[in-house]
Amino acid sequence: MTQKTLAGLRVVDFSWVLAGPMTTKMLAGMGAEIIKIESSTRREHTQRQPWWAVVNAGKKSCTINLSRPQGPELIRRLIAQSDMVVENFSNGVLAKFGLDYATLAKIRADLIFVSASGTGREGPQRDSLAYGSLLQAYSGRASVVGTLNERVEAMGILPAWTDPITALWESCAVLAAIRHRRVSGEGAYIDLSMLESTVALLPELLFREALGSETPTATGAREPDAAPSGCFRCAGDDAWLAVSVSDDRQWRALCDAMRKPELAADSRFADAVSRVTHRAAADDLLAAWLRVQPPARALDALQSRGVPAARSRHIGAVIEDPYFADGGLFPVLADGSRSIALPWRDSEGFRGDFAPPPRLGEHNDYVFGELLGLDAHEIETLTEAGVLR
Amino acid sequence: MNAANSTLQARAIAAPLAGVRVIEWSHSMPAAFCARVLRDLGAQVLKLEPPGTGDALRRIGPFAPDAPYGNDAALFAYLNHGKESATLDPSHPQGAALFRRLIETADLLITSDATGLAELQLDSDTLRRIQPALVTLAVTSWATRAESGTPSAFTDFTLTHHAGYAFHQARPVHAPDQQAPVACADREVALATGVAAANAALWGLLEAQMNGHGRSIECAELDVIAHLLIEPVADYGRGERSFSRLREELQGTEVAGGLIWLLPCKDGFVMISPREQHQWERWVELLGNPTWSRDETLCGERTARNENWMTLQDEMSKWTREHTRADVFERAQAARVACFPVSGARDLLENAQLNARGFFDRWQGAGNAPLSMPGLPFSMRTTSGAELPRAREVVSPVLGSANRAVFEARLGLSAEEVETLRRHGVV
Repeated sequence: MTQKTLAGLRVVDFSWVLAGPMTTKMLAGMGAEIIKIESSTRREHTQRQPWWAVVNAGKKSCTINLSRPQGPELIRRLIAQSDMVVENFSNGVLAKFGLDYATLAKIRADLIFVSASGTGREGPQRDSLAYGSLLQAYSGRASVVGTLNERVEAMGILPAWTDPITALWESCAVLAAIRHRRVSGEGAYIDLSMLESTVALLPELLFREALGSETPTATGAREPDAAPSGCFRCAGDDAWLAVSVSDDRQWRALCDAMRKPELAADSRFADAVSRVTHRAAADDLLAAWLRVQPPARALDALQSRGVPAARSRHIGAVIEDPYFADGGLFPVLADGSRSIALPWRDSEGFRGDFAPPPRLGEHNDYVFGELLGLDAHEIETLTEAGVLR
Repeated sequence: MNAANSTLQARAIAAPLAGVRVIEWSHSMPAAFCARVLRDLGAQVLKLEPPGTGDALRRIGPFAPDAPYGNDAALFAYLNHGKESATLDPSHPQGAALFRRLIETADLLITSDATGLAELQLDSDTLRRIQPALVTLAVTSWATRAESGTPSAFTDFTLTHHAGYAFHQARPVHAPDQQAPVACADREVALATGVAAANAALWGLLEAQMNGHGRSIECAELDVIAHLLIEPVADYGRGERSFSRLREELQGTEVAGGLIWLLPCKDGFVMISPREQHQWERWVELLGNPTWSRDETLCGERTARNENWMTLQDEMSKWTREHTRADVFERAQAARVACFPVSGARDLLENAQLNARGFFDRWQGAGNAPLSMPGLPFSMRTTSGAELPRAREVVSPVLGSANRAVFEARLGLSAEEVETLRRHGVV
């Protein structure tokens, strides 16, 4: 029988909101034991947002009040028998409790310590107060996804992008550190920046600016080297079709689908460069045609002719699509909650194993009794004293 | 010993994937980026390119005007720096034989489609016979598990709509009839998939390390982009099915992720989020405690601020319009209020934080002036003090520059044999 990839790896998880929890959820799916450090005295732990269950499946939860002197001491004892710490507190918070890397590395030399923050733990802006939504603007993303507007609509702020992208980078760093630890016995300190995580996916924006390129990078509205290209209104309630024509064959196929074969000979649209030059005219022609087309019929007409096109779908249509339903990306867990599996799959169908998310403090007996060796009386006393809360 | 040498000695280079041998046989950005991330982490990556033409990504702009032809593509450099490049045509029988020999000593094979290996009669069973611990990773657009429903044509743009991300990125809006869904920008779809694929590769390598046998893994762009939809999946899980995009009048700015305002400045915009009461109080203090800020019904509590967000937008804008972005950012942060400028490309290249942290590598292939390229978004220091390098000088691999090292030194072919293979178009 094979072992789960990360079996035996215990992670003390201080992280909250999205990026950190999504990282540790992925680790849980690969077999790591994740122990969330929560507290019933903290609003962010007691008032769980709707997405909380999605990013916390497969973990254990214990409650401990860091502001009580015994709290940090108990956590240090837990970390002494753990392999990894994941956190995203503001700078200096963990040091205040004697739970910073420098202190913990003396307790556990091979500890992997992952510290994620908005702008990174070093540098002139290291103390900046940051939220993922604001970093999507600071990273340059909002400027290219949509058009800036005071309503903050359709400009790449929602849904969260920086957080799940950071989680992918974070788990990547962690998995590399785990491999290094298995080979060398060494731990590692990882300082991860959410800002950098987002900017790393926008290289062309930077290159075109630095090289003085006149061609824009792709925006959320269209692809710059395709024309027509965009998301067009169809007949019906909020029905939209994304279409992007990149070459002559696709253009001729589009003309055929629109039953306008004469456009294939129109000099304005003779080749890709001409079509980009006359983008507005090409877009208008397509928009006028699609405006009166039922989306399903138009999609079929385009796809059957090899024109890149897709319905703009909501998550319900995505989850219920047989591609996703059969592929197991959005599993229903044992408690009935809907979750998100690993974004890859092996040939045997493995996408991670996920238990339902924990109740607050559900694993106090396991953590404080089984792992730390406290007896029932001690646990009760510490609970009454407000430490295990 | 001079100071520079001393510093170099003090900072040993961390390479958490040292000893991992990767072969990249792909023609896609996600697969190339996946391999580059692994290279950054210390793996040895051999990129196999078609003889003669090389990877098609070498011919995609933007180009550095002073760089030599074939090595002037900035995006190719970003996706491939640090790798070795060898040319090989595995569809040729002799090429296939060499390909198999390379696999014998590889830990990971990255491809950009799941069918290419089958065409070479290299199904997973055959590959495992060649190298039992080999991990194979296909980085695709659409998972090949889907026997139906794969569209005949798509781009990253249309894929983002199909995955649901574009719809939710334009939800809610006040006029859904006029406001189209918006896709991701730049190369986000491809590169996000590359990072996810790097995770898949690392999982496969750890799995092989623990259990001794390699896995066949697939990581598809469509799955990666759909899996990012955390909040919408939660909404679906709670029973929502209609997913109207219409913004309700009383939703305020909470719908934008927690009481957010985009405020105009002298030279652009800032975005602020004084969502907690204490943050709000410090923010209006920074604004000079104007009269309106003392109106309890207007902004006394968070719910009031949310309901009256547009009035507050106008009032706050009067102050921010008199200041630069940098001024508002620095003063707000000094008051512990979450605030950042809205950046453009030039802002990012000159960003003090990014530069101070050594985030940008410098591509030396651009000619006179090195081009800044984003590096890994994290630093790593091992227990012994070794660190992942940052602010590196990087170069993109010259097509076939590793041919001799690979075919002669590694596989033991003579120079004459390699020359014969070259004449036959195999290498």
